[in-house]
Amino acid sequence: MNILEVEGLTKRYEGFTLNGVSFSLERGYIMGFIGRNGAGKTTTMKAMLGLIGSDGGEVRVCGENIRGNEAAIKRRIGFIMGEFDCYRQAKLKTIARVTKRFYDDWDDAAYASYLKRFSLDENKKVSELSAGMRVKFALALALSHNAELLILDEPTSGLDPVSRDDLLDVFRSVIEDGTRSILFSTHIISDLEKCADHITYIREGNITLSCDVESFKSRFMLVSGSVEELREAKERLIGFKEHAFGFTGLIRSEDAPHLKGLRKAPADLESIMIYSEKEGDLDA
Amino acid sequence: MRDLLYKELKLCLHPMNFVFMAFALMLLIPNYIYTIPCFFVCNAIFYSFQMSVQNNDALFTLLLPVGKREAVRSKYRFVTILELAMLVLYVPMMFLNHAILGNPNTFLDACPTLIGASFITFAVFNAVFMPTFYKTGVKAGRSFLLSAFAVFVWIFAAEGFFMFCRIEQAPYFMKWAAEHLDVFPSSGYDIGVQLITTAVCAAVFAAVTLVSERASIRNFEKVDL
Repeated sequence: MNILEVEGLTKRYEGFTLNGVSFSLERGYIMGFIGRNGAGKTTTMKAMLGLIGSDGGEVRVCGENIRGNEAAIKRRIGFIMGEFDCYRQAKLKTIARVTKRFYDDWDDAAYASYLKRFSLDENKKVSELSAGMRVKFALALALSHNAELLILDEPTSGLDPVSRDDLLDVFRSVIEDGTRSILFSTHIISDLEKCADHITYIREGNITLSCDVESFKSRFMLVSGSVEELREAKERLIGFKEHAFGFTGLIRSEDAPHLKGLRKAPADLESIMIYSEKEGDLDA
Repeated sequence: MRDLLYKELKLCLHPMNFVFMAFALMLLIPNYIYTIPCFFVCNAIFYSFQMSVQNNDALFTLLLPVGKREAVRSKYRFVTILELAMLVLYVPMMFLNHAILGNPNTFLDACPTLIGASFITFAVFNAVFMPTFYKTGVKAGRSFLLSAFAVFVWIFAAEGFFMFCRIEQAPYFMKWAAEHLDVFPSSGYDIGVQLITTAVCAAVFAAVTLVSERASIRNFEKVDL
């Protein structure tokens, strides 16, 4: 069953349009939402929750339209925008005490266990926490009200590799029981390789692909060859880079049989993103 | 709403509110403009809004199970509580002023009419500050300058009116106002007219604040956070 369904979400700005964004996420999975800076990841997430007005489209959580049921649906969602950057001079316990009043399902025992697990000291002020600890605090708040769907906007961006790895482990453990799902945006592709089950790729406000990671990767191949071979292969390449010994590029897997003689290798997520952003068209 | 008010008091109340509320003691200064201390409360409310902007309060609030409408309403309740608290403090100060200093004051006397005038001070502030603030949700400074200008126009108008009431050539209704409204009431008649004046001003405050709240909600619905 889909925990999240986004259909035709549209937002028009001067110079940028979020153009009929549609994707869905099943319960018990992690979806990575990827795209370049300015591709529309944060706009999509904010429009989903009504933080910015939309010019069209629908967002359903557990089958219910968010418009008109805002409060009830937000009780089932945990939304984290990067690190927790509110009330920097307030103590964590004050913020938690305020937050818990809004949720009937608030679980004090779970909150205490997350504080312990993340080594968070309730008596510290927000300003005294590192970027990683602030993300963890936001996560502890979201998980303690039993959010079924976590929507995280670039939660790992400001973190060192160890903290990032730690956090990705937390994500995996959150969805372990199959009742929760996570949608998280990032431009750190290695994070997705480690923990995402599905990928949704947004480019200039358009969803280019939304599918599971393996299908996503299997649609593309990396090829390399000499400068002469580049001339022949060019029209089938999605994107390429020339170097001293020839070129490396990205092709659609179905084009592979037509390109004999080139060295071929499975494509990784990072290469898919880099090459497709260089030249263009990912629609497969 | 109770939970949102709790959030406002715990996380959004600037400590200067307590300091500026203590300015109710200014009613014990002889020959002072007693409509001014309420402006300090407006100032403190601005500090709280400024602090809310710096603390990303709107984002925190809207990530809770709360809509924009409720978020704005809770700010209005919060502001109204601060304003009414100041007027409640004015009541004992008014009696103390009468007991210690006695009448008359050069400017508007510490009497129920003053509380009525202060209701209008807050109504003017609420009418300008919040609807302009909620057009952006961030520019509190600009909204405060606009509202401060409007509040001072009102204070000068009200104080000026009662000053002119006392001159020899003032028309009858102004002389009547000076005699019955700008004085600590001692007769039943004075108490009656001053309480009616205060009640009318309170009703204007309530109506203006409600209209302002609707405008702020309308403005904030259009803001992209």
